[in-house]
Amino acid sequence: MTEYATGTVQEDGRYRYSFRADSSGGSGRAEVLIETVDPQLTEELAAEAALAAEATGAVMDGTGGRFPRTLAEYVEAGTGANSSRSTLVLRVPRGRGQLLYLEPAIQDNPRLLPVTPKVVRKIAVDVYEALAVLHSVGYAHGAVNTSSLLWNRREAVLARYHRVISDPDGRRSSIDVADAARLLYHVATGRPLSGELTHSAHRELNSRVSGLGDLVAAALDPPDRRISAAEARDRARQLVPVEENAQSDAASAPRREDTPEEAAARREFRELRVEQQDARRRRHPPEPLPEPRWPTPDPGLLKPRSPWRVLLDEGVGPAARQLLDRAGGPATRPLAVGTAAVLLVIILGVLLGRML
Amino acid sequence: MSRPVDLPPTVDCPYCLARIDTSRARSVIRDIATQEVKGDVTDVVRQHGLIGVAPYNRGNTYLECTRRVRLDPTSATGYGAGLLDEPTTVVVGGSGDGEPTTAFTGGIDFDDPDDEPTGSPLSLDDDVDGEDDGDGWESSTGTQPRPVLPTQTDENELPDPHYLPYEYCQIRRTLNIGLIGTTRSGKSHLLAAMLYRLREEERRLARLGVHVEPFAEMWEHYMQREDIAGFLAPDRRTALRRTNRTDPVEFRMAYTVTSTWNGEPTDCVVSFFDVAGELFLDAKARRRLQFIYGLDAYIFVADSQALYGWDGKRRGLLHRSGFDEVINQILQNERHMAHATKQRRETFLPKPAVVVLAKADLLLAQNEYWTSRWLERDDDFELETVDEESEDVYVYCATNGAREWLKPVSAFEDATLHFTSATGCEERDGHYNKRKFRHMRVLRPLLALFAMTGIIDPKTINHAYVPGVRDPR
Repeated sequence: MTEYATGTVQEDGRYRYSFRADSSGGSGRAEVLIETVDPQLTEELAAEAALAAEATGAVMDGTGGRFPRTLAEYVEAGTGANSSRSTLVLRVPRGRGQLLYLEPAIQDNPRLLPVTPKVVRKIAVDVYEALAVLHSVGYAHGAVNTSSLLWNRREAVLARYHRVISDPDGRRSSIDVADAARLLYHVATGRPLSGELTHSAHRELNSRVSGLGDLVAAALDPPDRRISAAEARDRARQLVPVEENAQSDAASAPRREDTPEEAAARREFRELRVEQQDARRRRHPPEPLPEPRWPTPDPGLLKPRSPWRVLLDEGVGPAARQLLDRAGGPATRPLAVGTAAVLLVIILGVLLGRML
Repeated sequence: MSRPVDLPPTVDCPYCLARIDTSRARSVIRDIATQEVKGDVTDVVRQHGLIGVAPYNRGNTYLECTRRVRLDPTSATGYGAGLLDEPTTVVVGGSGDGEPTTAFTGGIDFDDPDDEPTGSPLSLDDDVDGEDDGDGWESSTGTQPRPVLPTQTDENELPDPHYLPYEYCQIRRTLNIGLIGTTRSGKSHLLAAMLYRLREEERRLARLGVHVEPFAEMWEHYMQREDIAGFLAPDRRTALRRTNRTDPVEFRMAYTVTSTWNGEPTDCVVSFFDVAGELFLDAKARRRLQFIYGLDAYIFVADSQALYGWDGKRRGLLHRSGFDEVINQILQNERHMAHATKQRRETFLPKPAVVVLAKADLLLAQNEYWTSRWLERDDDFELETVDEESEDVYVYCATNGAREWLKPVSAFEDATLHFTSATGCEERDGHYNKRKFRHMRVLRPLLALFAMTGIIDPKTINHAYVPGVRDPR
């Protein structure tokens, strides 16, 4: 049998994933070879193979031999390369392009997320479809996350079984439903959901895929109120991807040129804006600037004015004071005052003598 | 007569715009569901304040605004002080049956032929009880048992008495916001979505420097309305009932908003008025709409559906918006007030307004370019683009025969315009599609209004010269 690769080999540090054509000859299917990178994981992989075989058998029995496209089918040991205990082989739909596991692909290129709204819707439908089938035959998946998800550009496939467990009473099934909701949040926004789904996160999801926020919220409800995988699948089928051009950031979207009529309206609005601002400015004027406070000049640095200048500018009193100041310090002041008084008496006496 | 210990001597009634003497007003307990008065707690409140009322009843305690507790607007301390200088310029208020009113109506009835002036509106009405102790005030207020909630005989009249939440009277700074628009324009849906989002976005509001909490117990009261609960419940999404013209003219909901962006925390009660749209087009109902003159900010709600007829898009509106009528009344009132106080009237009305194109999802469905540029954005809190959006909405309205919607922009001194949708989808048989239901940008107009009133930093929307805010030089 000719084996040829249908996808690039991927590795996530624990396992290596390679892809080849379906060993049974089906053209619509391919096989995934999961090998351990670390030899210590061989036992774990063997245990997973046993669980995969068990779940595959249950699904085959439960669905009358038709295996869903959204779930990977275990390929029994002895066929192809599955004779080794360190390799697990799963059969998956081949899809339209390169097969890839989401987790190692994201590790290689984190910009893969968020995926487009249409892909989000497809992943939602496929994952809940796979879970609905698995739950209907009494099994819970136990590890719905990006590590278990395989994408073939046409559909999403749950393609790991390491945590699969028999769940006849459906207790663990609700955990799968919530895990799938977290997975959807992750692929839709590019960020893992930490904690509760906030209102803004709810709205964000709805803005990408109409109804996705509501679906995720219902899938994260407390277990007693949580929807089943089948209900979630039905809801997922009604999701409406929001058109990418509509949800893209308008600021970065090319803006078309205004028509002459629009340009005139725009000018009109801008003129109104200026008028409004002027009106507001008049009503609520800015606070006036405080008076500038000049430093007091050092008197020693100023050239002293002459007594004549002082007499001319300020009158007799200040001129006399300045004269007294010039006459000396406090010690000579009484002498100066006395002299001035004597002079004043003499002048008055002379004036009085002339009058009489 | 003593006034309640925790109230100022006077408070302004947001409904009739009169100034109330708190020492004369009754304090009553009202039933949440029926709005009827259940009991009188005037004495207790006067002695101990609101703390004297049982805790479970404090949110239901109201101050009664009746004619006899309203102060003469011409008194030195009363509402409209100084108006006597020009008594002839003040339009006389009087009801259709000739009964005078004490509320200063300031031109409301200017063109109502049914109303005849029956006396100065600036004088105090005769006391109903007729008991006069000589000081001009009736002394038995609040102590005498009296019939409660008189039957409202005229749906055009403001009910008398009407009631103010007690706690509302305790806070001095208020921002009364009115939603203006005709019937079925989407006012109530927008308000419900807005109020809901306001509660949900605590963290992002905190980043803008505001803390928001429902005022008193109003949120509980509001949510008790069956249609509101159905509208907001994710698993129901039912349409709101139409607002009746006889519904009480009281604010629907109020929030206490603590503004911290300016340094010192300041409390402000933000209240929302939502009345039946048909009242705005009815000249006879103007007395019921007195509150519009006392509003501090306006949200004009335009019905985007009015641009489309059964045969597609129209060059013009399907029905009137009611904006013209309201703005004309407010302008008229401003003119009279300016004349009475001998002040120069401003070119623009000195209040902020937002114009909201509600139900814009319908425009989106019609592939309208301008709507698709904005409506799908999750940008309620990215306020720096508010002016850019306003410009685009203006261009859209101006070039699509909806110039009537632009009247507020040329009338008010500060205005922004927005595309919003409270539901994200159309109503079918009283229900909305639960998958498509979403509130689209409903908080953005309110935040723009907050910025234009200084509750959040006006710089966030690149506006300046906002009252009460330190202005740039």
